[in-house]
Amino acid sequence: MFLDILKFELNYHRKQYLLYVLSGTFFILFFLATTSPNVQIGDGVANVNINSPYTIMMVVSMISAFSMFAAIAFCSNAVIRDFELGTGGTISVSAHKEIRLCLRTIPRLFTDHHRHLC
Amino acid sequence: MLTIRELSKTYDNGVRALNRVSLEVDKGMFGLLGPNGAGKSSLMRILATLQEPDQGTAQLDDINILEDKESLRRVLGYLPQDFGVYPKISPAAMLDHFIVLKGITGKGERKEIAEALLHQTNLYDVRNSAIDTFSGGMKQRFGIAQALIGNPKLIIVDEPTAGLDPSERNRFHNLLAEIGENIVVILSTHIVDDVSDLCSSMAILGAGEILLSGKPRDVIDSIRGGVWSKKIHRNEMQDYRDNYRVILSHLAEGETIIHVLADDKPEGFTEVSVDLEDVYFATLLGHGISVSI
Repeated sequence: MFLDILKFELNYHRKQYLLYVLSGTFFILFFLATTSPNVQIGDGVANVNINSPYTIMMVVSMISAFSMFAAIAFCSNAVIRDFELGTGGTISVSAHKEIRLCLRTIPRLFTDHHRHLC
Repeated sequence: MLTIRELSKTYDNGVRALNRVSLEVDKGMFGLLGPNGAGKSSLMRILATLQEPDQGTAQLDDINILEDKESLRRVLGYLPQDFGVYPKISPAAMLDHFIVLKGITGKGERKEIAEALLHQTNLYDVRNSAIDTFSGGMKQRFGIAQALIGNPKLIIVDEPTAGLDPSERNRFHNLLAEIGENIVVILSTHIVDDVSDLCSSMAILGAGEILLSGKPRDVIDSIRGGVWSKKIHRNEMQDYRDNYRVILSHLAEGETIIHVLADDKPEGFTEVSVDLEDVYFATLLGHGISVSI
């Protein structure tokens, strides 16, 4: 059951622009950061080689920091999706008990939001 | 059988959506008719366990709808007014997702159910195209398909035919008539024809109250012989409105025809064969609910 839902979600995100836009942005940003002298991540002042462990660590930590924003984009998409698309009603009526408990990890998102809206 | 007793709901902003609504609904299609803002959707959403009423009870056979929501959801099919779908997902995948959410996990079983429903709603040929490219009618048919998952005992459809063209509406009606034989189907609508075409019993909801309920034929009989029509000029409308109880006006070949309510035949009027629309507007008028006519 959990796997089926996961599969649906992966399939869903595979078809949305967001995934490709973010992947593209990250790829271009960090590709240029490592190849072009005009795009630089971290401090360029230090007297270290471009492939030094220090520089690589710098780039990787910057990727992690930026990926927070990407994560937020995906999360907010999941949070507002059912409000925006009008699927909230059918999903909350369909989802049965076990799934509901499973989804409670994001509190009250799928089950009771209508009460707060009205 | 669905029994609703004294259901009331007042929203935080002071709007009284439902005021002591009581209803008994037998198996078959039940039409809930009312103007916009009458409280239809509120009632539907309470019955679909999406909203809490302030007071009252609702019972489907032996399930207490307001307290045992989980049990009700297992036998409930719901097509909301603003039914939405995920973009770029095929109906087959979306339906499969709903089936999983309903707790049916066997792969073969799921496929079987999905295919049967897609066949029933005539969407099998387009099962792999994106659902958000569908026309209004196809989307509504998909909505019915997802409402039918798991053999529900109660189906709630909230204004399903708004915005459908006549042929699609007809198709949708046939689909509803097919499923409405053995289970309770509640259809809320502001289109009178939906009810007169489909429903074996009905109620008129206005300003949060049940104004009239019964079988369409019986309620039509109740005012038979009391409705009269006349062709008038558009400018004379106000005079007639002041002097008669005008229940509705419509245009025919560019001329205005009014229907009025009177015990005896007024001068210059002819008798009309009463239909549900007359009953609907007469009821609203009788309760002082103004609808633009």
